[in-house]
Amino acid sequence: MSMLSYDFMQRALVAAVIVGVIAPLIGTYLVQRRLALLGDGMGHVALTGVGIAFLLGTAPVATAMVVAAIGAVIIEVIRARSRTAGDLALALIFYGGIAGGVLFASLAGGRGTAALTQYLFGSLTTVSTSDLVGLALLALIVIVVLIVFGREMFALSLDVDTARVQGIRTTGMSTLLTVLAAVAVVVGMRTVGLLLVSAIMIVPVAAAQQLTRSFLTTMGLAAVLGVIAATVGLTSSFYLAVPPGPTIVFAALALFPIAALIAVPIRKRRRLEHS
Amino acid sequence: MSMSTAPVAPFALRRACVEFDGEHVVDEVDLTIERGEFVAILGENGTGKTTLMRAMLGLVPLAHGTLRLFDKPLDHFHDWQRIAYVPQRLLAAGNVPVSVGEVVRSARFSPRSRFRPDRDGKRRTHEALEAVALAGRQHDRFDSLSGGQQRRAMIARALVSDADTYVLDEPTAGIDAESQAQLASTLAQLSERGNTILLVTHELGAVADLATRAIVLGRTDHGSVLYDGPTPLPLHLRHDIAHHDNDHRTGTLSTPLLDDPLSESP
Repeated sequence: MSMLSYDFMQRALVAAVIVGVIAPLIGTYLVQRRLALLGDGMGHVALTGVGIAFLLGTAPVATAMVVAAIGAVIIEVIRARSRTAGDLALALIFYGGIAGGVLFASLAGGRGTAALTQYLFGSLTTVSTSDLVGLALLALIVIVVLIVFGREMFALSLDVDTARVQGIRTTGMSTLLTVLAAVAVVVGMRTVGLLLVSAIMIVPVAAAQQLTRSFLTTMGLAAVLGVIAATVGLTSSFYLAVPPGPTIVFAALALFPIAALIAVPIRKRRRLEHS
Repeated sequence: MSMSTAPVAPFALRRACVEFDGEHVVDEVDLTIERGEFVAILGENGTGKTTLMRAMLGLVPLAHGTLRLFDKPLDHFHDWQRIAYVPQRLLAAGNVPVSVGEVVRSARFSPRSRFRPDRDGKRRTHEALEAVALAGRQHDRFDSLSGGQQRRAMIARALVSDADTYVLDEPTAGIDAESQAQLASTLAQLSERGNTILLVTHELGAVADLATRAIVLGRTDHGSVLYDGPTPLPLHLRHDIAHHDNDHRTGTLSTPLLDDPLSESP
């Protein structure tokens, strides 16, 4: 019995592949800007959205998206307007996010707290067809935004001052990146889960950057590794009968030492080229 | 495109003051940089040279006074592609590899080019790297370059933009004599083509010698500007700069900007 004979597994696999591509694309910008933990925080914020959805009976993906996007803008406003340091601003939002998620889900009654686990660590069975359409739409938006604004966001990641002298609206681009991180979190929350979704943004980038020499190739390789991790992780999850979040993250983590091993002969060859 | 428009001053400051924590770092500065000028901002460390330059680019807010860029107030200025800025510190190295070519080409990205494919980007990047003797290094990691090479790549970054105004902060700091000579010839060429060049430096050398106008900063009762006029510097400032220069043990004092050998100054 192949796992693909189940409809829910087909949907889960498509959802996992979408997040496998999208999350590392955003993650590359986050890692470059030393904001690797931003995805974690956005996951916590999205949890409040899920809690609110349980309480109000709205769609979890849409509600989480709205709440996470608002959280992203608030983080940037705090960072830009107040003297509060960036990491402190993040910390404040994150604590509030996870507390709000558990609070609202608990207020929603027993059904809420049980379902919350599925959003924390991912679930194979919960991806509906309408979810899939939503995820695909969000992924499409991310790709279009990257095509239009990606070059400016890259220039900003190199140096804020030179970006400003290029006429780039640095606060706007920072906010856009944070909102994109929020989108990636929401895209991943069904399969990877909100507590671990940040890993699929960051770990493939960490693995890829050992092998690459440019930003663009890092991004491309990270997306390929993200898809591999998502597919391998989801398959393992099915056969081990465990939530997919942990297996996807372990699959991604396993790519890190593999990339390190492959990097050794590549670096040696590049060194020879230069001598 | 910009050639057909009437020449307007790239930078104009009126009674400009910059304060950090209530202290005047730049005080009562009145200056206009005209189109095509080659200006060196000089002064010992701590006189606010870099702050003044950053204020002129709108990177530091003015506490008092006004700034006009190409005759427009900062909020209404949008022709940023006319200005190429080479900052003092090197580009922030993040955790993702960035190639030399990507660093250089990033200067071409702006809100104006958002929906336009960058057709000339590849060729211009190649030419700019050739101009700073880094041809063939565009696929290498930026952080694999030496400090001097990174500086040269940053100059190449300024060259790929379509700027007519170049602003450089301490372009010669920490680079070897050969790179300095090369940078001097690049800047001389840009200047000959009618571009405006503004640089900040605390050391007199091959690059600063190209300047036809010097602005010397220091602390006086009437503001931050000790001298603003043609090169060579007047006698009393030669002594000042030479003195401060020795204080900082830069030891790269050369004569042309000072008009005559240092040993003859009082």
